[in-house]
Amino acid sequence: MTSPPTSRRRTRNRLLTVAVAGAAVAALQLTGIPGAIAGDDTEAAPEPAGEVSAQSYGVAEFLAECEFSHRLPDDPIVFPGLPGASHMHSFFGSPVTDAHSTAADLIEAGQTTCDPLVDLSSYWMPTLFVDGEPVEPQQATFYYLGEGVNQDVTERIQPYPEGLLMLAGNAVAGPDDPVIARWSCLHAGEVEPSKDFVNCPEHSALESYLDFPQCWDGVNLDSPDHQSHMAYPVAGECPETHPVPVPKMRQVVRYPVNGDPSRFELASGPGYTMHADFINAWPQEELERRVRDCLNAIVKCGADGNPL
Amino acid sequence: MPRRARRVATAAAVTLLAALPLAGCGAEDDRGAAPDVTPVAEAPAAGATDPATVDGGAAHGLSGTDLAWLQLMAPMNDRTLLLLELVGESGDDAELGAFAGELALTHAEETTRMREILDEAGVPDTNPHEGHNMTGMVTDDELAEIAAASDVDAAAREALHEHLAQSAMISGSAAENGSDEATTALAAELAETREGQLASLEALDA
Repeated sequence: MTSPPTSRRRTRNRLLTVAVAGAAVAALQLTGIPGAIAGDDTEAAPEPAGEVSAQSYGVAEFLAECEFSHRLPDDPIVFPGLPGASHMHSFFGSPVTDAHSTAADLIEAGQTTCDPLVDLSSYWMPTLFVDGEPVEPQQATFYYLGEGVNQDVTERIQPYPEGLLMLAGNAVAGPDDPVIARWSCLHAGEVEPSKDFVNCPEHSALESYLDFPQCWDGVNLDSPDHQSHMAYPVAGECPETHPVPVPKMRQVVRYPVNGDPSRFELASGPGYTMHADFINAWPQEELERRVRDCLNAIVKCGADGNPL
Repeated sequence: MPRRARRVATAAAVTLLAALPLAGCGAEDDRGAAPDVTPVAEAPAAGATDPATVDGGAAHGLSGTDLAWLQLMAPMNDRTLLLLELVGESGDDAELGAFAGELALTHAEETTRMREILDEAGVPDTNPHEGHNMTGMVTDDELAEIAAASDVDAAAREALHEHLAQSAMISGSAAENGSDEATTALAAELAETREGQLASLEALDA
């Protein structure tokens, strides 16, 4: 079993903070549609046919930036009540999350590693191992976006329901499976993004992008496979089966590693097994305010949910 | 691991945040000048989402814990049967071979009962962890490694130890935290069986 994070993280966590601003730009260019690619630092990624580019009408965004909290071989969504059943996960946001956690537990605990402090949600992903040793991102950024759907849909985006659980990515993906997760290099746009680990130059850092589904079935907070209550949009619209547009969460994590990707392994396996989980524990009024003022209104907001 | 103890360990992390510079969005909008945005006339009212949502993680009387345990343990038992078969075919240790034969019987019987519960609940017989390298799950790669090991018995004992210990632990949790009567009863039985099997394996090691 792992120990709780040590004081080492206090210094490490500051290192790439300044780099985040630049990377945010790259973050915005990945559509999350399988087959789409992340762009470099200046060019927008091409949008698939039928998609309406967010650039055409502005940016709808707010975000949470969260420090690494702890590691556990737990997964309260996939293995609820079964501590130790999962591969190793790295948790961000609520520092209390374990195999037993529910949204109510997170709200009751009232703690977070995120900016804003009101975000009591839990975010986790498989731990990255380099030469067999766990390496944590200094920080993870969770963008809540109004893009990926047509503008009239963006204007109708609803907050997540309280207690919504979400999964993105495929932990059991094989090498030939289409996956949404992408790996790229911070400040090295010449390295083509890939669904598997990429070889980042020395000045660069390995980064992962993953978009969560943004269409909800309007009824279920979870489903037996933990995915089918959510869906990705089709041609800018939420499908009839999942008619409620919700924010598109884009997870961007940046690791202090580069070079030979054969040294890298996720707790779930190769790079293309990257996946992520989310328990929504935002206070509903804070989420509603951000969705209304930033996403519906198509305004770029900061972590505080106010326009920049 | 004491669950509550962990909960206090990370409380200090929150205080770090106050000192953190706001980053990521502090820069100007690099996506180009935003065009005039027409104010949204009819933004959905706050709270427009129907609050009558349900926890859909359960299936037909099985809780999330029940379902997770059954869908993990059934394939884990299946995969272990392949290992036990390998021990019977390729192992040299007669005692271990006999033990593997007993394990194969209990594992097969348990798996049948797990699948019966899943069937009754109308859950399709799929392995959501197919091909995944998980603690206690014997993967194809591990099977090949064990088959190719210079001491097949030793390699198999190690894998069996991991499987028995992991399934004992998880089954104990399922017995405690699950809700379906048949599932928790089976989980409790399995936890006890695995502890006994673990002790038997360790006796063989001695």
